[in-house]
Amino acid sequence: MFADAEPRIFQFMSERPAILRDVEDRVVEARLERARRSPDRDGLEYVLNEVAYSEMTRLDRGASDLDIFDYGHWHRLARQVGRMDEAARVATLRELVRAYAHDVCGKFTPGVYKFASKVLPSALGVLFNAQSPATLLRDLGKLGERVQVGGALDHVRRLAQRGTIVVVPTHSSNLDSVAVGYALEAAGMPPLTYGAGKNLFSNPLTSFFMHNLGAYKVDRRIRHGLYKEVLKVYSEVLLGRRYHSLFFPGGTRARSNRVESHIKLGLLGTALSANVRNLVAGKTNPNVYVCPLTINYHLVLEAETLCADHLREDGRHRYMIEDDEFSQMGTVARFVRNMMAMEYTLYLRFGTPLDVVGNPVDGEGRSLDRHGRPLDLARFFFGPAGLAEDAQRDAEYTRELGDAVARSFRRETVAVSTAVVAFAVFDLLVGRWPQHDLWRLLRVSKGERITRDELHARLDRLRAALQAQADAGEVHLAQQVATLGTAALVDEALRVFGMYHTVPVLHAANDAIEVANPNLLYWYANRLDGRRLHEANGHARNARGA
Amino acid sequence: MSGTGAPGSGVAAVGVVGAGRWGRVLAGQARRRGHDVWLWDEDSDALAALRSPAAKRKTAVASAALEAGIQLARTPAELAERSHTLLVAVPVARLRPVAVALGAVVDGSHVVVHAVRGLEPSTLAAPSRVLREELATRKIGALLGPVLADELVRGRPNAAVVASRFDEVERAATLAFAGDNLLLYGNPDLEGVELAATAASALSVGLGLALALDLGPAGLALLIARAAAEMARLVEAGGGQARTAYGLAGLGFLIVQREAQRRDVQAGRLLAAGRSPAEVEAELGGVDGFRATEALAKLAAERKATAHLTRALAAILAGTMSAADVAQRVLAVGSGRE
Repeated sequence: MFADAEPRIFQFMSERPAILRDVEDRVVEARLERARRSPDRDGLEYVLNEVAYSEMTRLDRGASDLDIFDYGHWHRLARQVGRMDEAARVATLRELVRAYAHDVCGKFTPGVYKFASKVLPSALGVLFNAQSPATLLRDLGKLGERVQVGGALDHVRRLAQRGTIVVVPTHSSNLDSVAVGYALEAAGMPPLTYGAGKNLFSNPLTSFFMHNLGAYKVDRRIRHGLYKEVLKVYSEVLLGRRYHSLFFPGGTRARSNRVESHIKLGLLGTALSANVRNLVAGKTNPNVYVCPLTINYHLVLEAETLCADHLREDGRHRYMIEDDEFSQMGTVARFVRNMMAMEYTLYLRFGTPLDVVGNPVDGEGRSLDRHGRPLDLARFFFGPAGLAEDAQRDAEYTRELGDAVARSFRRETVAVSTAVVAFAVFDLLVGRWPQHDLWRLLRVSKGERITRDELHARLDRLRAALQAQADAGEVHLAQQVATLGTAALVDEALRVFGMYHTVPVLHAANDAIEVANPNLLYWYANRLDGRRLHEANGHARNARGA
Repeated sequence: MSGTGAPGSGVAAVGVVGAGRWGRVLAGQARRRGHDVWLWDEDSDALAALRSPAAKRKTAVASAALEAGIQLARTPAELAERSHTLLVAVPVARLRPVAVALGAVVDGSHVVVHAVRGLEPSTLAAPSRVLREELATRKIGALLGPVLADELVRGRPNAAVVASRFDEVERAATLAFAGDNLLLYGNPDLEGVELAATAASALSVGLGLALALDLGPAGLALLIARAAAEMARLVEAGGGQARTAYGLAGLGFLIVQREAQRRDVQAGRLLAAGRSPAEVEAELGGVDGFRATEALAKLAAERKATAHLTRALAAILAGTMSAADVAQRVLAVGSGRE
């Protein structure tokens, strides 16, 4: 599969101690420097107290076996830190950083990787399904057809040879990293390292593979600055050592199912820091390339949980959801089985790769300006002090990079049958009750019927508008959306909608379509929101930033 | 490569684009601050004229003779190579071709500050957006506010805003241009500052009109307060922060226009006297406030922003309303909540 040298990540285990040392040294040095500059705000006593307080508050709400220290440890630290001398504080800081770094740091076992890439699909098949070996083989053959990778794939593959790539996908499901991993391996790309929620490591099925395939652990329950800094520096050290990575720049799975327009800049900024450090150090192949990728599902495994969370009227959304469909093995199995058997495709699309300040990059790894002229990326990091990092400037660059990623997500979105039909139906509902706000509309529209004629007419206009956007390069159409007749497209969406969710989104009722699950209908329609495709002008459209 | 005189060394190399009066004055300001200054203009005749002895005598008659020691760059490449901080001072209608010429030579390290008021007529793009579209560098800013060229040359106090999201731009512009006669204040709201400056230029025409119609002190106060509120709405409609309108680039500029009876204000007075917009332009030799008014009226319509004054002024320029009608209409608006 790998024409060139062994993928970089195969050396991970031999470099692991050095990586951990790097992370520890950088975080401790940066903290000591800050403490020197502003002792009142960033003095070590204050920092250690804050960490202890934050951890105690968190553990007060509930401990878990994933915790590295118990409540007593933090309590003792809080009591002692005031009496410690500076040397003891530095030593304590170093110990904490080391402990966090070890907790975060992943593993990579080439054997497990090779095993997984050959055997994992069938292993999953066996786990998910009690079918006969013959059907299993047939279905697995189809899995390749079911996952389609398009867009700038070749471009990304070439850049992986020239520098370090960071794949930044849209995020809808915990299956995303599995899907990306599978698809990239099948496309002959090297494996990526990525941060995964620590809770995923407690799932017995995924944990073994996660542990051994280069994933590192992100404990989202820990909110204090020191831990976040360890995570960022860890990512930066990996990128600096040319380990290809994957970040989900939206931060968490999209609750509304809208294509992410707000990009979190923390982790994304580590790509820039790593790139600048490489340039300053005069490394060969110093550049980090950011590769936006959209993942376009017909159905989303966790749709019901994410939708319910998005629509909570009390507004108390959960940042972490641990008890969703992903934690129920039976549901995951049903979902994957349906996907394999029911002949619908998962579309992955790479946008044009970007440099760390958001310029497009060509296949040779050169940054280009708007007119396609090559740019010298290093010049962007020249300031009064020569070639160097500049926190304020670099934060602005990262913000611009985030905007470029969001624009790419929008352009590379693939409009699939379920989203298109849901959008048309929902827009008709808004037109029926223009005075209703979203919640009222969702309550009254259950059981509502729309005649096929009305729906077909609306769909024809919607597809014409989408086609115009596709011609302008603003969106892509799934094959069925581009080619099927209107009636067939509706039937296709109904078939897919009816196969997985506990209450189907829509179903056929004689000459009409009945809305069976308005919440999910709205949720799937959101994928095409923000493109000026609405015709109905009702209050429900304006909910939650529609 | 841009190497010489990087900021931080205390002496910078400053490049000025545009050999018009404003460009020459700002070049002189930087020169008096001890910097190496290079001047370039896409109109090579204008530059050649500055080089000839006869022209030197001629410009010396005007209040802004070219300061001694300013060097003339033959090409944009030479300008970009010699200087790290560039200041662009050309009329907004000429900005695009100038930006295209600079686009071929400016790299990611350059700091580019413009002193351009108005929006590009065909696209309604603010000057910083035009520069962003054509240049590699992101370090773009604006230097705008109630600065009067004559006052600056005389050494009397002036103030302006340096607007940029990059602190480095603020520092570089301050190093290049700030002095006892020019106080510079930073503001990260670049779009807001550009729109406030444009709106102040447009509304100065209205101010001139009101002065000529002799509304009285109270009527004038009403108009100025309304103009400030309208500037704030236009700034917000364009993605800036409302409070930027009440700062130097907006309200500050409106006041200096009135106090100095500048061209936009004179144009309003002439409109009130019954002259046609074309006659006014011919008499005054081009009125920035007219272009600003037309652009902002379009922007307000596009963004659905309330802009009674600007729209009324645009109607005068389009010939669909007379100056007297406008005064009536505008004063009749309101008497609701402030």
